[in-house]
Amino acid sequence: MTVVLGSGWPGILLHEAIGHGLEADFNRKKTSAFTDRIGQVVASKLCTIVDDGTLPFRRGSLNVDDEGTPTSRTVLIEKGILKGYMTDKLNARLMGIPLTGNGRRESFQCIPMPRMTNTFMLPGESTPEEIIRSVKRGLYAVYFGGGQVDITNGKFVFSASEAYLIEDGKVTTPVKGATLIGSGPEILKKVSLVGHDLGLDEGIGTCGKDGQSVPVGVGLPTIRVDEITVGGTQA
Amino acid sequence: MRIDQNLMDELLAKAKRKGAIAADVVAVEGDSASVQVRLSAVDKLSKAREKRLGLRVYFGQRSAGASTSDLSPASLDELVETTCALAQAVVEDPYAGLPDPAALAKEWPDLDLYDRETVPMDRMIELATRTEKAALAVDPRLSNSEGAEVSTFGGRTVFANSHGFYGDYQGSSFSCAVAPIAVQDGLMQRDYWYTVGRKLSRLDSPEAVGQEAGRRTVRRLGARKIATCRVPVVFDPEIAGSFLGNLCSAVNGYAIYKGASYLVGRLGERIAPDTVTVYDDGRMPAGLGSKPFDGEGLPTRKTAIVERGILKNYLLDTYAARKLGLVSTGNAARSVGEASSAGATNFYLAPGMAAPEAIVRSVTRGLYVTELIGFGINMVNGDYSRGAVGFWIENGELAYPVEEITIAGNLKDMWRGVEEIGNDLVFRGRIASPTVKIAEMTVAGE
Repeated sequence: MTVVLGSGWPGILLHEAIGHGLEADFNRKKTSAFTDRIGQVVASKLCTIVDDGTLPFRRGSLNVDDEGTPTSRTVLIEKGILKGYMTDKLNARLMGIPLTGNGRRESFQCIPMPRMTNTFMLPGESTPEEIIRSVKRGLYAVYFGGGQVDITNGKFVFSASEAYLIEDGKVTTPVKGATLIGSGPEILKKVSLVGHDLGLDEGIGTCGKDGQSVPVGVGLPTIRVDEITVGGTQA
Repeated sequence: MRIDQNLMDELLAKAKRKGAIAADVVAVEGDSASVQVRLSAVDKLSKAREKRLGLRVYFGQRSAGASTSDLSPASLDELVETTCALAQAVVEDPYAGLPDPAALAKEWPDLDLYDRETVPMDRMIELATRTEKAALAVDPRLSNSEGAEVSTFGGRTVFANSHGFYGDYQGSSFSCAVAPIAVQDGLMQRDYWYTVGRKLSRLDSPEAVGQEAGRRTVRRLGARKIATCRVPVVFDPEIAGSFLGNLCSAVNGYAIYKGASYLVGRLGERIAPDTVTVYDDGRMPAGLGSKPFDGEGLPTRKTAIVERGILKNYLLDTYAARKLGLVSTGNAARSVGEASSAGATNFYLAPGMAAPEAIVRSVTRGLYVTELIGFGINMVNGDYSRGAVGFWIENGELAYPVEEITIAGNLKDMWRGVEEIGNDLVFRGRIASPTVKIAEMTVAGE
């Protein structure tokens, strides 16, 4: 069904659907659904997505990463084209690609790995109102619980904790327990409208990988995705 | 400093001198190691040794805890000082306090939790290499791997309190796992398999683990979506274990007294059919969750959580029990540096009579689930909605692999709808279940 994601925390979509798959370790090992796809179209032209560890006061920001590399703004997807991976020192060297300041570790007890910082989509030109008005019947998802991705087949899932039906361009009934599932390399190709209202989350995200938890940020303007499978008992 | 009864006594005495009316100390020490081998080359080696100690003190009904990994005399003096100061700064809690001295464990059996065998790194590397080789040999389409990992742990837990309790025990664990990747038509699938236990000699062989991982991975190739439907759902033992884990969270005394579980106020009521009996057994020999006494010195035991479908007990430590007007079930989980909590020991669904194959055969059209992702579970109302991977069942056979679907229902209805329980209970962790068939769930796909 057509889904409109609200601005801010729904950016967890980017974190799960494409973020993890663009961490360099999975691509060095060729275990990611994004392996060897640099330069290919993986999203609609409206999508430019960055990982930026340099934003002031943000939960995922760092002056330097946990290996001493200054953080940076890394363009992951530019106008729909896959541009780059997020690296730590080990994987940057093994792959011969630039350091991006994404080498992070939970504590001194853990080894560094490529991890996200603040991952978000740059704003577009639509207003949130016209995005909702454009939908005949769909789901307006504004808040999410956790998400997870299978890096290898690219399938991701995340659960809407606050969502409403859109009927004839209007937000109507609340929906409970909706789970969105899709394929990372495909989902962003279906983004047909991007709002001008980029929002970053309020600082609640913690990302788990290989037993290590690190604080991260996500962000999204209001976007329209033409087709996502929505699960739940009432869908 | 050596972690022994003298050290514990000394800390308890120091706390008392600072004015604490009661105190307890927990200390753990252990050595862990792991190796990861990927495509026959070592990808990661790690070794760690840790020693930590946590003190909890009571000033009347006020209490606080603190911990340290610096066991020098100066640091321990400071720990006592800080913890006592903290306790006097917090509000009173009428439910705080050590357990009744009469209830503390007096003696306990040897539960066979420790293996003296240590495994040198080169042997761990060899085991991991063999496991991965066996996995990749299953099928030529298994052309990549996330690697095989072998891990070991051996350590000791010591607990003492100001009622005169002192106890310690050793424990170990060994595990071996592999996650191969199969490629077909440019699409990849990953699955995994593992073995884990208290004793190295009781693990499945690297070859058996590898072959099962290979089989589980290859069978996922060519997975498709299916149309949205309401059908019977069969959980394989791994997934049934995760479903049982949700029950385990819902009966946790802390969730109950906070009102954050769909099972609040349901003791004595029917929550599942007669065939469902669930135990928590802290004294299972060589069990991964076994311990001779719990995190506050009470004897562990076997507790019926659900008996023939009736909810009989919550998992309780002394604090949650007092909050609820009940008695501890010996399920205090105490980790150094963390607030007290209740936790399962070995939590399992008693096996039924049906062979797993017969359960699948009983389904005309339905879903067999082998993996779940996502966190779509609401413990307060039981709503359940998660991403799933598995097989479509057609006329009692696993017809083809499926993915990118969700399954949804409500935990209350799912437990009431348990239609079949397999005879295939195997402990691969602290929570274990045989195959389970649920009468009906919503499967969302195309």
